[in-house]
Amino acid sequence: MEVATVSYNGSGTFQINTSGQPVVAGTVISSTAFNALTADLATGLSTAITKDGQTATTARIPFAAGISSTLVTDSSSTGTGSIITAGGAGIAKALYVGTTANVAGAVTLQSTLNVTGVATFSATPICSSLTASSAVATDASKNLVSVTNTGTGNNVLATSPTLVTPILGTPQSGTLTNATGLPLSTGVTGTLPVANGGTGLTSIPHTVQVFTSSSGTYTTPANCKAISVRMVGGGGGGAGTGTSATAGTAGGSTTFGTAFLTCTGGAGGFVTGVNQAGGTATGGDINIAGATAPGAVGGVTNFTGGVGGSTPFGGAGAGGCANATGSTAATNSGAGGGGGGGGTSTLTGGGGAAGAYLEKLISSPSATYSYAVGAAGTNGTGGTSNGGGGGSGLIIVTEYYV
Amino acid sequence: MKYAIVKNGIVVNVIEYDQQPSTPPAGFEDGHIAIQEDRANVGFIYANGQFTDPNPPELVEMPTMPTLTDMILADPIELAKLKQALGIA
Repeated sequence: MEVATVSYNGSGTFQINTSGQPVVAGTVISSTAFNALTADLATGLSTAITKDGQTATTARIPFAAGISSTLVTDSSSTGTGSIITAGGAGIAKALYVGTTANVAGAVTLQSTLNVTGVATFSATPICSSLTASSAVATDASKNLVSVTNTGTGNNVLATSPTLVTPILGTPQSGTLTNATGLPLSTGVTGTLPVANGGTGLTSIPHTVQVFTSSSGTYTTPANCKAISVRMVGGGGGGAGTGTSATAGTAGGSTTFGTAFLTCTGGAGGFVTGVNQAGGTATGGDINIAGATAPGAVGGVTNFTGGVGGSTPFGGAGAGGCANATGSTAATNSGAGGGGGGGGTSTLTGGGGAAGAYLEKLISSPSATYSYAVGAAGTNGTGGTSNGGGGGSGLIIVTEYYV
Repeated sequence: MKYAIVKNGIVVNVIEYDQQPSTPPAGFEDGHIAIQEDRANVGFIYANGQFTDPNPPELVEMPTMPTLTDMILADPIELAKLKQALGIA
């Protein structure tokens, strides 16, 4: 506080200049004393705060009982209101605003802001403690924290959100009752079981069993749904030529099941000009009779023997050239063997006929089937040349599991 | 080796086995036996250890093609032409 003038004692008490004071009756007024007095009074009054605001205070004025103003003008700017301060107001304790507090400048809150009413932000608040993010959340202490987002657009609430091309990752659970458009080629994993209309398999397997000889019992594999049988009877053997020529024998029958599928063998080549019939097929979806083989040819010197009958597997034996043995048919082709080639003034050997061929698709096959593979016809012999042997029969069973 | 499958004395099939099959052979019912035989056909009769064809094929005599000489001698016109060519007409 500024040091008081002479008349103030430094504690705000105005003390009359005692020089020439007090006066008593009859005291001659000394101009010196009077002038000093008036000077003191002038100084004292000039030092006092004028109520009409003529002077500005020169020191901080302590108001022990506070300041009360009856001014009713609202504080709406820095020029209105009961208290106007160019240097700001320092409030050592609490600040209470009865109606509205308008702060034109920035507010720096150095401690805790407790809001018991509703905080309305007309402008977007900025929380410097947060990082740039499109969403905030509260942590364990209920502080606002930034959260990491993925995707763009609107935030998602729990009920009936519409998501655009979301990548859901691996949901903990979900009910896809109303989901559509699931691509079966890429959208599912695992194997659809039979009970749900699937196969229970990860591939479409099939197995094949081939029987090239002998007889026995075929056992349908477990879980096999259908089998496709292709088979051919044995081919006949080609006939020989010359002295004591003999015919070829017929091929054996190839059978599958009891009186079910049968491909009889082709007839053996004969030693005279009789064509020999191929085998016959019964029971198949496709039944192809074996090819007929030509009979012996006579009267032409050194004529080639008859060719064997062929099957869908090919393999027919060629007729032998002059005096030469006919060719043996390909093994398991079911084709006929070639006839022996003729010599001078001899008949040629007839070719063996082909075994029959069939194909059969069997849905819901039986547990077992007996089978037999027809043997190849034996070639005929002769003094000039022998025939070729026939081709043995064959059974091919393809097993399907779907 | 080839085996004739015989039932009631009749060859019902001819099958090739690596060795003598059991009786009945696998895949065949009781009453079938397998007899090793290379020249039997289905339908042959098996009796007394022999296989016979109940319907042996009938041998057909193949006509002999006439020679050129035979053809000329059989045709007077052709024969006359030949004599004229040889200067013996």
